[in-house]
Amino acid sequence: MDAGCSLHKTQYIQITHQKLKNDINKSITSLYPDRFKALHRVILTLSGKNYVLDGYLFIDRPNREIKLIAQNDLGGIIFDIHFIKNIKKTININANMLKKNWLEKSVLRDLETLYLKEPFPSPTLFSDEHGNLILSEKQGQITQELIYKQINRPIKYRLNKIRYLKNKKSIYTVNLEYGTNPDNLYPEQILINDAKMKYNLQITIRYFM
Amino acid sequence: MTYRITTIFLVLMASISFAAAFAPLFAIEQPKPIPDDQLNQLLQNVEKNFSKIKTLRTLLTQEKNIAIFSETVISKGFCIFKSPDKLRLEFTTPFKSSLIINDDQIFKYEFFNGNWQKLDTGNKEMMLLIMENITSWLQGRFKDPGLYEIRALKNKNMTFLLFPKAREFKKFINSFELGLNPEMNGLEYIIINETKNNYTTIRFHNDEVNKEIPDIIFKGTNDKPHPVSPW
Repeated sequence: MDAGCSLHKTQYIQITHQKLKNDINKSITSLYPDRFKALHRVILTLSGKNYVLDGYLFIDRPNREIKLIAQNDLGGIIFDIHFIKNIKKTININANMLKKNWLEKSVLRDLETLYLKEPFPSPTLFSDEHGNLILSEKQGQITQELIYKQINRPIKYRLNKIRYLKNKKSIYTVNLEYGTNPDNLYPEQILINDAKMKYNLQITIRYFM
Repeated sequence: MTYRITTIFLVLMASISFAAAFAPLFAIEQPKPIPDDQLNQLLQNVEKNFSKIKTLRTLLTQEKNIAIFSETVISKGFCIFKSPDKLRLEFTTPFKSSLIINDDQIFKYEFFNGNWQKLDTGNKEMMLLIMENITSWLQGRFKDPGLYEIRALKNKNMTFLLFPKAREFKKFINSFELGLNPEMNGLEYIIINETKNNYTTIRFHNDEVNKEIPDIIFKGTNDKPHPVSPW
């Protein structure tokens, strides 16, 4: 291991073990099945107010495709999205209060981050004092970090947090919570905080696999 | 106008209430349309019958058919009403949530990560408007010529079909199908035909009408909804 560097208040130590770094970097591609459906129950907090939505999702990871139907919790489609990375982006909005641009920058970005993220081209791997592994890559002004927590039986690492930093300040975080069962493969709850766009999402997930 | 239509749309979504066991919408017999000259009298009779409901507790099963899903997504819960203006709509599975309206106050709870959260909803006024409309439905007042065209079909039971008139409303809903029980004094089911082949069926069962319901279950000042005894 190389000498340490410091991000935030946590002491990071760089890990140069190439295979471990490659394995961790590549693991993002096997985070979920290739194709699956999920129901998101979402509490959106925006300007101090709460809104509840149900998101019906179809994900096709090899084809980089997302379909989302978002309903008000009492029913009725608020908007729907059909996205194929670099090929198609269709957003239909039924509620006039929502803007397409906002949905692209928030909902679509969140879904891409959760389900279509690809390995970094040239990442750096660190460990912290808790034994977590941090895969990091700077892209422009933004440093992206994927934080993997060590779990047992057998020893492996599970993605626990995604964090975007600008000038060493966190501007976007995604916390993945896997519930009480240590063998859970997929997160049961997800918390998203976007400091720039000033919204929080609390998501409870039911998968259809 | 858009706001009103959106509100009414949500009202109708939320008006999922009230009465006995489910019967299929269209059995084998072809349903017979009720002629226009009999429709007004029928609506008056239904309103008279529904007005006898002072309290109601009913379990509900919601089946969502979403075009991108091959599976029907089933949710279960219950609805409790106490005339004139107390309502509790609660889902228990797969996600827990509770909406309580008590006189002119509204309370919304969501269960997240093992705990109830009391929400500060961003659409309280709209939800209060919803209450007014739910009350109308509970009293059997289905007719609102400004909002939708209404038709009635007689098969085994009576079914009302509501077709939104306004373009903004039609963006959400193609039609509602309201199935009455044989006594025509309560709803058995609602089918909400949305756009793009998405539809939701809400079936009501294990209903109890005009039994004592304590006010405390509509109290929304705690950090979680007051527990309700099963029935």
